[in-house]
Amino acid sequence: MSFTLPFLLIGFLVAVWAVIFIIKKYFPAKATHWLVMIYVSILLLSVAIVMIGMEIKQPFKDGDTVRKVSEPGFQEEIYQAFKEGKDLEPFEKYVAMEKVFPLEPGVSVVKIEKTGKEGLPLTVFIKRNKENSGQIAAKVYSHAFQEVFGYQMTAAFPPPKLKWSKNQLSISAPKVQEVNLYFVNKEFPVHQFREKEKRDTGYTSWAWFVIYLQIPEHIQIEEGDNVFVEYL
Amino acid sequence: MSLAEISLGAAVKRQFLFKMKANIDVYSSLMIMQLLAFAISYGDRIRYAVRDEIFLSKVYYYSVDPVIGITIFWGLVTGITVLTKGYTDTDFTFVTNRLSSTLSNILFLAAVGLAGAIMAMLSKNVILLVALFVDKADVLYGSPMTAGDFFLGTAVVFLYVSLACAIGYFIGALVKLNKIFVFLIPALLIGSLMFDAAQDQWPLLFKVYEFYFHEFSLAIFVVKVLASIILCYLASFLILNRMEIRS
Amino acid sequence: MSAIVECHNLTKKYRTKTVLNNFTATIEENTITGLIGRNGAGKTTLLKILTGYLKETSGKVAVFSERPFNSLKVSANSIFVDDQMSYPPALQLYELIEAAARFYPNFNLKLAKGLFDYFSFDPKGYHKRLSKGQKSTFNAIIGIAARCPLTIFDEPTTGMDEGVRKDFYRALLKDYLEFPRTIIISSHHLNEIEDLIEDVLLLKNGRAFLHLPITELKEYAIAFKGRKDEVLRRIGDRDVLHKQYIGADTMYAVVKNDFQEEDLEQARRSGLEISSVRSSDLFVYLTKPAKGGIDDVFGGN
Repeated sequence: MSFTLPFLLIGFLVAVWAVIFIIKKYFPAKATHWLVMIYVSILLLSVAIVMIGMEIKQPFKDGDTVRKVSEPGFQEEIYQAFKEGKDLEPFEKYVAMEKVFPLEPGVSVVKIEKTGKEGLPLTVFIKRNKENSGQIAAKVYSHAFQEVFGYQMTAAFPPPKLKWSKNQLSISAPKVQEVNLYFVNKEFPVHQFREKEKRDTGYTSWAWFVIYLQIPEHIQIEEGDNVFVEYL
Repeated sequence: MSLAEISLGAAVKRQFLFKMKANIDVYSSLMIMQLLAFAISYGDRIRYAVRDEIFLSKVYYYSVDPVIGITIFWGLVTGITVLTKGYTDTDFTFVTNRLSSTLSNILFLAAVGLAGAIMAMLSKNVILLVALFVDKADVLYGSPMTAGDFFLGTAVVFLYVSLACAIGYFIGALVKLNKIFVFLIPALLIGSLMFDAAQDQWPLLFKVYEFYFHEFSLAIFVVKVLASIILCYLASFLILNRMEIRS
Repeated sequence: MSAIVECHNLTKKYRTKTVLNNFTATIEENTITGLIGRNGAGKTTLLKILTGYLKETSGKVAVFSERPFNSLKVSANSIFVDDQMSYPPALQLYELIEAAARFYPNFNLKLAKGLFDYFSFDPKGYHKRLSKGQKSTFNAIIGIAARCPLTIFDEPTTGMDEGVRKDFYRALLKDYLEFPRTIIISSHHLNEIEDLIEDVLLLKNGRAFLHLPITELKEYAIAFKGRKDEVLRRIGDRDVLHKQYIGADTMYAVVKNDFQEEDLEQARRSGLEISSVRSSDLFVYLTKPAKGGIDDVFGGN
């Protein structure tokens, strides 16, 4: 779209210019005529561009499957699944990141800390493995949800970043995400006679992420500030 | 020497065509006012900013309601100007009588009103372009303008603009009757607002507004507006039919 | 010949002032009538009633046998030219001429273009930027070229310079001969139009004071000059239109000319100088206020 537009514009202007050139011989136009013509041309051109290149999403309809995600209790479910050792299979689709950090020989203490004070508090589930696998396996489950005025936005919310150095796992929580939402309404004279749409004025947003670590039992764990650790 | 006989229809047609040509400037004022409204609409497009721990959401609203509103206002002004001294005197420089003058004025106002309505509705697309290219809006949410919406919208805006023209024309006729109306009309409007405020009741003007803008049945709306337009023009004609020119 | 304009007891009153008072006159087809009168005599009001701009208060007015107010027929067949003609400001001079041509069926576009070029107007110019004289000239071009069966000029030469005035009257006369029509031309300078007009309609105090062919106007009055008692004896009880004392007892007096040839001969023999009166002077005498003249203001005898 962004490539074709300039060409479209240039082509259109050339066409307008040609028409003007021909008309000019028979029609002594004045400045006002030109201004009106240019104005109308811009209006018509915009119609063409909008028709070709713009997608406008319809209001969200009830019963759409996507909405299920926002059902209350969803967050509780995954917590429950962790605590009770249930099958984590249904939550696999929310895995945003999976990483393995090798443990160097001789490391006996691992510090988990949050860098920066911004963002959501971190919940870390740690499962102690009896055998020494010589590594830390990390999984990040993440999901964000935003619903504005009845429209569900597919806001991408980046997962926390994990950084491993020697014996320290630094977790940086994602920053506040700037989201621009673009709405277009029907004009009041149209709205006046159309069946009233239910206008939802609600705003809901939530985001959660869970960090799931598997760490060998013999490694001591030191908790940093703003990190809530739950041992499974 | 034989005398030229001219029918009312022919006189109105000639005058109408002449006015369309001579009053090209009404389009300039329309354009300027619409661009102004467009600028207002653009400046006002960010309506909400919601911030929580996760999102900073800016909500942009694209609407040409200000453009439509100002087009209606332009109709009122144009209706008044058509009866200012210069314009009516010009009518009588060439072939006319008071009936053909009023009829050609009505036709002229209808024609430019329709143009204004179409331009206002089309300007919707321009603000969408602004969304697309200036605000880099990748996805727009809302109801797209269907062809049906466009025609309905244009028709309704046309009716509103025509109503405004007719009211303006009536005001113009009153002022022609007596200059005192230049002060009397604003005084009455403000007085009525103050009176209603003192009586602690809904302003009468709001009831007038409701009468048209809160009418949700298209058929009744059309009847209300057309009846008002006819009433205004008829009253104006009865006043103007006795008016002397360049006295 | 039929009457184009008929007025009978035509009266026009503004709130307190009566401008036309029982005006009665008839103007025949294909004549050039000079409407003359002092400032405020009601010339413009009369002309505006004839073109339907103003509404008569009482009496009867008919143009082409129709009441002009709100008559399309009158509007289509008449044009009123004065220095207040109003045009849409957005149109160029050339477009104005074309517009006029579209409205008036007899409009001679070729003639209009010719005059337009002759007076060196800029086709792309605008009316509001013209000087006062140029505006009058432009309006006059429209008035001549429109070739309306009833063409009315109200003080058409306002602001025009001497050369343009002469050209205008000449053009008007030439086109009148080629395309006869009924023309009413108002002026307070009778000498300017006296060679052009056929009839004179003199308006005084809202009435048609005189309406006669210009040739008769030239012989309408006669002047005596000589000893006061002799002059007074000759003129008898006739209305003195104008008198002037020269020295102690020499008198100059203008009276209506209804003398027999032998009366004049006698007068001449008794030592009176007899002369004709220039119509422009006569106009002044006829239209002056009822009593006295400008000299009386300064306390002259």
